[in-house]
Amino acid sequence: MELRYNRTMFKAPIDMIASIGRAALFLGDVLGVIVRGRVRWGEVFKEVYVQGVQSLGIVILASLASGAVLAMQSRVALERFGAKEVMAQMVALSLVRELSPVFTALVFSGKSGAGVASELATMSVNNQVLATRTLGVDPVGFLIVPRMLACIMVLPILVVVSGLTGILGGYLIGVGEANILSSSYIRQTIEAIGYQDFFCGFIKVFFFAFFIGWICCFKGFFTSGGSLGVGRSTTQAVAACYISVIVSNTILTKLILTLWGS
Amino acid sequence: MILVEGLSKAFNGNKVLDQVSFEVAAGEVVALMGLSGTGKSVLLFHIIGLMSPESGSVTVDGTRITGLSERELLRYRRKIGYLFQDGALYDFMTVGENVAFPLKEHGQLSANDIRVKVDEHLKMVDLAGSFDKYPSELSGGMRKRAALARALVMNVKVLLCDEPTSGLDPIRSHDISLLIRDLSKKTGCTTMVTTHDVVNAFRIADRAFVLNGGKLVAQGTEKEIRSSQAPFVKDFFKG
Ligand SMILES: Nc1ncnc2c1ncn2[C@@H]1O[C@H](COP(=O)(O)OP(=O)(O)OP(=O)(O)O)[C@@H](O)[C@H]1O
Ligand SMILES: [Mg+2]
Repeated sequence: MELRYNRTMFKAPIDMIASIGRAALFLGDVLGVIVRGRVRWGEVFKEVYVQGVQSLGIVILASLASGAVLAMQSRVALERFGAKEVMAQMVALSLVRELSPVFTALVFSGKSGAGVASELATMSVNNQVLATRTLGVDPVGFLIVPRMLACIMVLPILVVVSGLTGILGGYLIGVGEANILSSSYIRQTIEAIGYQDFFCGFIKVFFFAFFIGWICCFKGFFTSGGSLGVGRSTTQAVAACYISVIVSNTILTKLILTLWGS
Repeated sequence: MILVEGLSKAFNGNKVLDQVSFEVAAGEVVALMGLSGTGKSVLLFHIIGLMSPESGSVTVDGTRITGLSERELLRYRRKIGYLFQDGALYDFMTVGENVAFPLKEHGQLSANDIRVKVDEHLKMVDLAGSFDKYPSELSGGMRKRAALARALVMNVKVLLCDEPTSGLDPIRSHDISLLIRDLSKKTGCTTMVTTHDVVNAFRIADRAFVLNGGKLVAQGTEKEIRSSQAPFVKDFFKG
């Protein structure tokens, strides 16, 4: 009884360490393919298209809406301090430095990340991954590397789109509702965003993309247990993406602010 | 062609294969029989190098494949065809693209030659009109035949088929059994087929191996197996 209790007590952390170990080995395989120059660029661009199309609509919608909401709320706050005129700056800076990268990464995890994980998981439980090996083809090079590279290429593009549509959302409220002059809203926005603001946000995106690609490919690739397993892997992958984006964002933001200043 | 020596495999202490040894001659067609869960699929996985044994070895076409690295195994597998129970076709490719896939990956053939070869193989399995269909548009039997075409398209020396007749009606089972035998004999490849379908086993195979409890309990031609006195073999073939 005592022994069993201990075993179950240690089971979760041991499983987790084992799983991180496997994920690291898996990443080693992925890097091996890339270093040996075996990247299938045709597949990469196919995946870029698929993942981009999957997430583009929802990213635009979410960014437009959050830009608008951000403008509405900052208007309330700023009017209290009589600082309505800095609304454009506030919206632009919040979006570019923080909201667009994080928001887009979360949306992308739930849409394209889930797509990648479930697709790979389905292939895995239907023996298509094993079949690839029986045909003498390395499934990591054929199925994984293109998807991971595509994540790293698509997410930054989506973040730029998100920043622009978010600013548009803020502009619509600022000009339409808060009666700021269109020309001055645009001028203020452009003046507000320095290149360091842009890169502060943008650097993080590559980390997010890397984590999302890695997690979703790993979870999907090592799936067993039929259609139930597909569902389980996909949910776990998305949850792990959310956690890694949120946690790494906190750490990265602290690091960037410390090293780079504001 | 296929030489298996003292092969043992256990999963979590549960012995699935126990000192299995046999040899299959070049060009021979062999059925691997036994109850569900006796390790037939596990044995095929060892021959294609998807699993490695606890002890013993597998030698195919003079190459000892036990202990090879995955990269060496990928190269070795180009001359082996493997037919999965459900076909395991890529569902994002058409049937034609599926069959063309190994040729595109490994061959030096031009797109035109690939097309000719794929058409020829689809015709062989009676799927001439299905080049542009997706696997989800095919019946189970058609998927198996398409997968058979994909397995054979590299002019393989060894063909391994896992349960080619399962999930098919008796007529389709009969047809695919004869097809596998025909194609094996026509292409001269050495073929192993797992099945628990006693009727079709000898339609396909020259000889049969019977596995029980992880051990090879009988091997031989239909006549030899049917006259076997081993109790399990008698029960198995009585149905
Ligand atoms: N990857 C694995 N991990 C753990 N156990 C496994 C694994 N693969 C197979 N087994 C076990 O090995 C035994 C033999 O499985 P196998 O699939 O070879 O049976 P089979 O003879 O092919 O059966 P069937 O006729 O139903 O296909 C089973 O008890 C199975 O649970
Ligand atoms: Mg089996």
